[in-house]
Amino acid sequence: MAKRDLGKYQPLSYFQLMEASLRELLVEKRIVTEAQIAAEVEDMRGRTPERGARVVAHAWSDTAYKKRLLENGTRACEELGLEVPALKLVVVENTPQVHNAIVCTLCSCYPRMLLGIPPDWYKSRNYRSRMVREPRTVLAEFGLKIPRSVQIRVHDSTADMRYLVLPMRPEGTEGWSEERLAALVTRDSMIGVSLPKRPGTRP
Amino acid sequence: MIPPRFKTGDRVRVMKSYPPGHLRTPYYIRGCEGEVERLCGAFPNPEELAQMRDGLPAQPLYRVRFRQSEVWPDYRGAAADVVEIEIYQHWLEPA
Amino acid sequence: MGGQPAGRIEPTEHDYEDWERRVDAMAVLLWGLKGTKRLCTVDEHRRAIESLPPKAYDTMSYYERWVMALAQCLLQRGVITTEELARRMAGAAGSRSRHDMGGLPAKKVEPSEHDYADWERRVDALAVLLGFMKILSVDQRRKNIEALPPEAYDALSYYERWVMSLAQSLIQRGVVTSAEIARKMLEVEKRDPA
Repeated sequence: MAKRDLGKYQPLSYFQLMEASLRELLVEKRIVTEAQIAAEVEDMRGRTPERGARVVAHAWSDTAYKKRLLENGTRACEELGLEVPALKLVVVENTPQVHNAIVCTLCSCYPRMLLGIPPDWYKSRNYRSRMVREPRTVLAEFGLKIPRSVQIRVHDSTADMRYLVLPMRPEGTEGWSEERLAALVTRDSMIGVSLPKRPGTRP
Repeated sequence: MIPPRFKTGDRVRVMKSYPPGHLRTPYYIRGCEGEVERLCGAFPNPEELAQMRDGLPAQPLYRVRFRQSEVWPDYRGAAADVVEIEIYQHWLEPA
Repeated sequence: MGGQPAGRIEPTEHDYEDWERRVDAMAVLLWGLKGTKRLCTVDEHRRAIESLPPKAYDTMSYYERWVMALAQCLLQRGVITTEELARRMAGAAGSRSRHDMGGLPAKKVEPSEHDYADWERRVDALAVLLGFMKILSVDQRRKNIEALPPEAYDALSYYERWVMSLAQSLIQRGVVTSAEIARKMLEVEKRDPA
């Protein structure tokens, strides 16, 4: 029997019916099993921004690693034991002169195998339409004002590469452990629409 | 693989064409001129993969950097602002 | 459109232009109707016309629809590639697809997030699994999402678009048929106690 979402006493929508039907047909045809699907759902649940935060914190703590990360993002993730199947990662570094932000105008490309599923707003018409054309206004709407003296680089993920922003390390974190540093790194700072948390802010 | 025609620093122009099919060259960048930031590698052509063909031989893919003020006539951000896009070689001509 | 209300029938005729006659002739030849090699079928042609977005279907003339459909069929069959067409058509103005939205005016970004429902997670998982197994490709998925009529593209949620695309992709690959899906959907619906 098709699995139901608990607590929902509504008839299945056309699309939920479609999902159940395709899944059952594929299982009947022995193309996939229910167990494989369930395992993949769990794998994806396990992919969260914390993984990206670990990469960033390590790069902040180890200059040689940071250099390798900027040269080959995928290999650097794998170096930390992070499984990122099929991901071709390009890491772009924020500096006092440059602020990076990521968008996929054509669909919703995102480093899912590292960070998990992207947020709704990243896939929205409003973000995808405006971010390439008026990044400063969109960032200001997110609460991030970038001075005009700082160059904004918007990366439109149109093809095979996926992007991660390496934010600048917040001041006042000298000597911090990687674990403490990672807790400052938010998903949105790795997309480029905000900055990492500052020391002293509540988690 | 198809041999790369361009290298970092080369000035290129995006073909100004609007054919049917699955494309990964956004509408807004066609006809614009930019600079190659890097060669990302060579990959099977997504236009062909979308038609369930193998997309081979692999096509060089570049990250190309464009000045925002040259892409949008009404751009009001900083003069140095850029947009960087991955574009397949067959969409690029020397500028 | 059978059975829908509509206006008076205008008894218009027009003398076909040369390009329209050539489109008709090309179709006849490509369908193998004159002893030529059949490169695509009338059924593929009809399907391509039916896949045109509603506004395009209504505003295009008969042979404008035919030439778009011919292009799609030839692309699907691999007789021509998008690259070849792009080079030949360079310079001719074209319009945006609904999904190709970079630079269009839009509203304030709502920082919304939602916890994905189980069925949505399963759609994601299925798409990823079938990709790893090389049964479907992400490119084919995107193409089928892009092919949704604009109104559907806008009205459907993210995973609703994915599941429609998944169905189309599986049909195109010959993994399932429309008939199988139809039967199965009725079966699943009957079981649903709600």
